[in-house]
Amino acid sequence: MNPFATIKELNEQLKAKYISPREVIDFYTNRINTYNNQFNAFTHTYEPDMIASAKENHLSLVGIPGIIKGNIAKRGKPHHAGSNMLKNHKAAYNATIVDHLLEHGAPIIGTSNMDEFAMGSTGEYSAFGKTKNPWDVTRTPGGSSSGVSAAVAAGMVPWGIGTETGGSVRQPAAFCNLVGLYPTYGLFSRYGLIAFGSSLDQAGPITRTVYDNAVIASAMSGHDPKDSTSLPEPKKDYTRKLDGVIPEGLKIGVLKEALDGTGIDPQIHAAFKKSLHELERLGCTLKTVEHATLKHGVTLYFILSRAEAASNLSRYDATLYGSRAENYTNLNDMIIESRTKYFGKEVKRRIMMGNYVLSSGHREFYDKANAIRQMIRAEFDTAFMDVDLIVSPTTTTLPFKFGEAEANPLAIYMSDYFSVPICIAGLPSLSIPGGFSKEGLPIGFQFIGPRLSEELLYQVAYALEQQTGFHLRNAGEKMASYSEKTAE
Amino acid sequence: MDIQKEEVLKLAQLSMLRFSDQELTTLTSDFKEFLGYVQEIMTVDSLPNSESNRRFNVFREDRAITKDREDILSQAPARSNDYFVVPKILEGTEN
Repeated sequence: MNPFATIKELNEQLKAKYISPREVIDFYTNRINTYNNQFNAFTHTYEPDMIASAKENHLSLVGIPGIIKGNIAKRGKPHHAGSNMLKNHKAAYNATIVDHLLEHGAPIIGTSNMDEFAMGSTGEYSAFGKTKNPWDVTRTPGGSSSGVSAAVAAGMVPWGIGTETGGSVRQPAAFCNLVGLYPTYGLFSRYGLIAFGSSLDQAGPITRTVYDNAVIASAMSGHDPKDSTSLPEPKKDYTRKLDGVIPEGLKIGVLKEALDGTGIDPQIHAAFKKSLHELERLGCTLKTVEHATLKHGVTLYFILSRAEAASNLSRYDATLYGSRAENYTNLNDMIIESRTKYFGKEVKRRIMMGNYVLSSGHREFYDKANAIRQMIRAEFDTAFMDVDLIVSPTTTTLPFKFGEAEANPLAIYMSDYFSVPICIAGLPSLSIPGGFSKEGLPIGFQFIGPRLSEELLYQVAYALEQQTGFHLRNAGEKMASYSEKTAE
Repeated sequence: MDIQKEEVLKLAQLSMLRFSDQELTTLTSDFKEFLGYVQEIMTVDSLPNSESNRRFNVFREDRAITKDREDILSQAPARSNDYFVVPKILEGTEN
């Protein structure tokens, strides 16, 4: 079997009874046993539910194993959020998206490593140790969906579910030559996800191809009364328009900063311009889009995400679940000791800054950030009156080396220049493979659409993917060179 | 904008976190960098925040959803039969 097979290929081979679900699960279990020590992508693996009852069609996931991020609930399975605070915690119920995946027959085979409470862009802030990038083991796979991306990129599973608050699905997808979706806010239920920044948090599929991503998105979709921010949208088949044809007269906006290349790694900029040329060859009309408030996105994210994190993480009081310190004098002291002992450094720093911007006397930052948030939204709305989709590089930098985040945090935040404003606006965005640097590192290319334009995003991204073929390259060759080195 | 160590200490209390003196010094300097960084948005011309206009309530049927009691209780850091155990919260009473 090919470890880098797509969902589509596996589905066809299973349907033809060329392979059995058991064989596929055993094959990937062996892959995990061989490679996980090297990359530290899974924190836990388990025998998946073997569901045979699901409908047999192109959206069936029967026999096709996947990984869920450590902050997504599956009943009885570890639900740790990459934190010592929840290191031994097990979910008491299923996240709605997990139920939806199970309805499609998905065998969920393990839980992923991640930055603690999804706060980080490198996977280094995890209580379970760092995850390595299969494309280059001296570099991070990105974060916070570090384990999911590394697992898919290393051929340990064909698909995974990450979560994103400000780049955490698309950036690791970009760093690992994968496809990652940040959906329209509210498209996928958040019930059963460990909250970080509730007005930004969304789950999203991470896969090797656009088609596979559309399959998982179709399975995840559907309104959920248990999440009050879930949109009343019916389930949808997002694979329907994946024929390589782009709608006639399609207009694509190019963010001015992306075109100019200001603050963008020159190799990423060059790859981006090549993809633009491919879009023109496919018949798209390109138009420069100026977005005056885009440049405030990273600062806004900084304020809003920390404020929301401080509120959300106030629930960890060592009372009903989570880790409790051994020594304390009274209830208050028990809470303080437990939080001090079991939260990591970055999480504490963000709680502190969040409480600062929420405290009386300093509300001006939070209020201002919310006011500018509306401007960012409104400017995108205006732009979409003129163009159908907008494009940019996913990140401004190549995959980070280990240690870079702690040494220069501001540079790391700026790498999210093009991703966080999209979360702030609640718009859908799809990152796809966009080329390679001369040292062979993956580069991401992202499409941004108006609310609920996922079908168009997949359609156009699929056409570009088929044109460029970057998705056909996998980390297999590089991985073989590491094992040779280990063997020497 | 400046921030002093005393204010960081007060925030730590609000956050239910404890820091060593060395950690407080580091955090104070992190705060200075943070405030210097976010300052740029204060000069942006914006309309007053009208976020409240977008709010609406979402209702669902008021129906109890029963989870497996054991699934939940088994996650407690300390329990006694079907109870969660926490330190005594009433002052001045005998055990």
